[in-house]
Amino acid sequence: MTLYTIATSDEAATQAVGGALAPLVAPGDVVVLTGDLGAGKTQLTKGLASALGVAEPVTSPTFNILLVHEGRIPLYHFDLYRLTHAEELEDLDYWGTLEADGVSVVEWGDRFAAAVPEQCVVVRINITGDDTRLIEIEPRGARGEELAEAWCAASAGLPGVNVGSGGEGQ
Amino acid sequence: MSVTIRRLAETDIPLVAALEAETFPDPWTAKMFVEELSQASRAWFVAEDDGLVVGYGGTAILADDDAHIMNLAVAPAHRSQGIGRRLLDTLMRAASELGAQRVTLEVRAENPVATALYESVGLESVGIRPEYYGPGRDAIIMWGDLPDAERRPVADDSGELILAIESSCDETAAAVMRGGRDLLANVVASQIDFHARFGGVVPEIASRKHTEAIVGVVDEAMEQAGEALRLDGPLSFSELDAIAVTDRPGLIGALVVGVAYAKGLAMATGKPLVGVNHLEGHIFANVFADPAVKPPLVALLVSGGHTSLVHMPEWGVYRTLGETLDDAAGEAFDKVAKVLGLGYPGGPILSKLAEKGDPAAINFPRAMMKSGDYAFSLSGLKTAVLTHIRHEEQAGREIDVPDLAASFQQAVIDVQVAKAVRAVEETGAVAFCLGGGVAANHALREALTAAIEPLGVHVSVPPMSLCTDNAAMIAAAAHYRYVHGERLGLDAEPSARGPLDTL
Amino acid sequence: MSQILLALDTATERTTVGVARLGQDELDVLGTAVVDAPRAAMSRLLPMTETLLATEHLTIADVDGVIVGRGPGSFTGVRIGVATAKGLAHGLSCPLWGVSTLDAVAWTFAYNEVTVAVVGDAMRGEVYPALYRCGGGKAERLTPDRVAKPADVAAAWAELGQPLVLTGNGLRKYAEVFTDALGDDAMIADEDLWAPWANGLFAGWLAQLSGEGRGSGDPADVLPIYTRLSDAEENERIREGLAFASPPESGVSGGEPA
Repeated sequence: MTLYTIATSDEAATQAVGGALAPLVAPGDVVVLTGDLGAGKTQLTKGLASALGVAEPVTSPTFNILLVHEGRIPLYHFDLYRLTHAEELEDLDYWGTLEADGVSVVEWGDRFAAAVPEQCVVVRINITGDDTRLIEIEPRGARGEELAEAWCAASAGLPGVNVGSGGEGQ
Repeated sequence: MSVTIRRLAETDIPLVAALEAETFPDPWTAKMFVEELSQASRAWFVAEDDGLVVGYGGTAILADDDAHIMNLAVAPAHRSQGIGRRLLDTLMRAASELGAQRVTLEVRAENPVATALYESVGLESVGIRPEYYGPGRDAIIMWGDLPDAERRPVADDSGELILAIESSCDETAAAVMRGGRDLLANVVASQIDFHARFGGVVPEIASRKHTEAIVGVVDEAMEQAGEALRLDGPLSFSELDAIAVTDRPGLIGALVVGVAYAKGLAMATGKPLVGVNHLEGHIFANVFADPAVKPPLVALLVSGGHTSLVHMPEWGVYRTLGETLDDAAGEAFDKVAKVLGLGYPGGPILSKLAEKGDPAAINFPRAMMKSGDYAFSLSGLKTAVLTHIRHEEQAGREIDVPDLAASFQQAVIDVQVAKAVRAVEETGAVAFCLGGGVAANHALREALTAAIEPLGVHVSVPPMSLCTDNAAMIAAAAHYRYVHGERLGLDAEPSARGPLDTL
Repeated sequence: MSQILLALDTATERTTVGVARLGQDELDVLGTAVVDAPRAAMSRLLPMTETLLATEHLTIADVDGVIVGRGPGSFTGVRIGVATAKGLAHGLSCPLWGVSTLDAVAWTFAYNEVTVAVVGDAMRGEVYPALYRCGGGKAERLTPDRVAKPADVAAAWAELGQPLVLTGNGLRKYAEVFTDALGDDAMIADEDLWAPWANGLFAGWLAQLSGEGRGSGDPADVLPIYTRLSDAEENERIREGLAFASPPESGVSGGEPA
């Protein structure tokens, strides 16, 4: 399994990496976003949203669980932090939304095995220093591979961004 | 000297509780007063002398058309001025309006002044309850008829009867309100014993089980309204003037249940349907709870995870001055609490610890203080706190949690207060309202009140039960929208987003 | 004395409504209407209902009972149908009964001597499978509600070694999985029948009347049909090695392991 890595030097760079993904996503694409509190999950999502043409601020969906934004395609921004059982995903029409007309970003998506779809990219943001981050991208399924590869190519060369070579992950 | 009688607001409670403690050997606590404010079929008033609370009283309508006068007290320095009599008159009138025909109360046997007061309005002693107030302290039970004691028919001009439904996020709730002011029923699903009602057919009603809860919640509300109106059974749908439902913003999966149900109910009953913006509901929670709230006003609203500062220059017109750019205050508290191992949601625990800490211990950044606009950004502060914690842990130093909590809380408060004050000054608001979960944070509430009241601006904080999701506030907002002719069609769809500015 | 019944279902991409007259001996479907458009339910259901009733010179006040499809299907879709039906029945003070959406789909074939295999779309790569023995005006349900992977279902059905009429909105995504596994045993129903028609709802309801599945008629009692993962299935998924189910390594604690 290929694991892609992207190192960023600050918040702006993390946002820029999010932005690089925008032209590549299509309806039904899913980004599972994991990482400690304060790692920059919402920052990455802001970058993606901005580049998708979303006008309003992208705020943390922790309380609301799902926030919807209109851009080039809808952005469904989930945060599963507050859920305690996988069953609660049903009440949100989680899988129906993922398969609908937009791109879904799911923060804390790794909390439930059932929440990670077969085709997606699982992104982990690691805190490596006060400002620096290491973004690990693990593709799932053929579409995941396609997206991960294109994303890294699009991110290379952005200021403050260092794309690692894809290698064998855990 | 001018003494006015007005409805009790939650900001009055500390003073009322203090007066209660002075007056009665077995005083109610502040919490008990707060609970009272959210119950249906209650009326509470204060007597105010140049802004100082000098007396208070409350009545509750119990079964069988009887009003019970619960507490009535006047501050010692203000006695013998007729204030007690004025409070009593107001209470009895309110009890009549709520449909009561008779009034009862207990008074201390050794309080002839009070007994005389009650006799002066036509109450009579009917018996004694020995040692009701403790050893050797009897109570005299008094009863009387209320003036205008004929039952009022529902269809008189006492205001539009509206059933409101709320299902925008975790809670399913219903309320019945008359004239946008008289709360006849207020029901939330999380407080109903569904197992008893459905006998096991319906599993436990967890959060967001709106489809399971909706019929039971509405039934309960119509029953409560029937009791409040002294009817022979529940209020019937045919007696309503309108049905209202929160249609934005919120979780779509939740909103659809309320909206779909309300549309079905409206079609079946032929009643007009009104859609309500949940955020406007929070503003009307203030209006309903405190009749002194009028435009132009500024409101600090926290609904779900969003904080926004809103200007309402006139009724029903809104301008969002600024909102959260990233983390809402409540979330920031909860997340910092989580990192400190206080559990989730640990915001309230963190606030409590902050009371014991030194707010100046750590100088966290005050984000957006100088930005010249009203936007709120807390992610920088959150990151600063997390970074601080990480550095301390790496250096092997123990963290003084109360100091950290206090410093963090102060940083949040300083920004909220500064922006609120600027908003009030720049808009010329006469009232400032807190709505939503933000009202739960005592330190923030007190800081805002202390900063804004001296500006001559009326500060309003609704009771906690109206700050969490409820349908009473939706009914209050619905009344406004209804009388202004706004309607939802049978093709209406809810929306996850719903900026107030578009209303 | 006859009764007017209204039936509706929004559990799939189709919004379906029907009105019928229930007489002494039989139920007569007076009219039906469908809209096939995803997410149209919220805006179209009640206007369609009004129009359909008007076509039969009826109004909502004439309705004596409501029947609703309970799913399984799209969670939002099922909610819209069930909640609307609750509002209607509650407001009319009339009974509300629920019928399985899968049953309604199968009942279209009640007069064909066939085994019907309904494949409902359950999202996340899964389906709601259900088998029925049809004929003589009846559709007898053979299997309980469950959720499963289409390949597994197709393999199990192939083992039956008998011709099956395949229907259900899951075929939109997975028809090939079933035709591959079943070969000549698979007969795919007309696409128009993959989602419920009101006739199927009425028929399914009538069949329930005499049995235990009847329901009390109390609108509060009608619930969506949920089909949850059992604990065993959840553990299975974790064992399949979803990599991030372990606690984070970096210094700041926080976040629950899956």
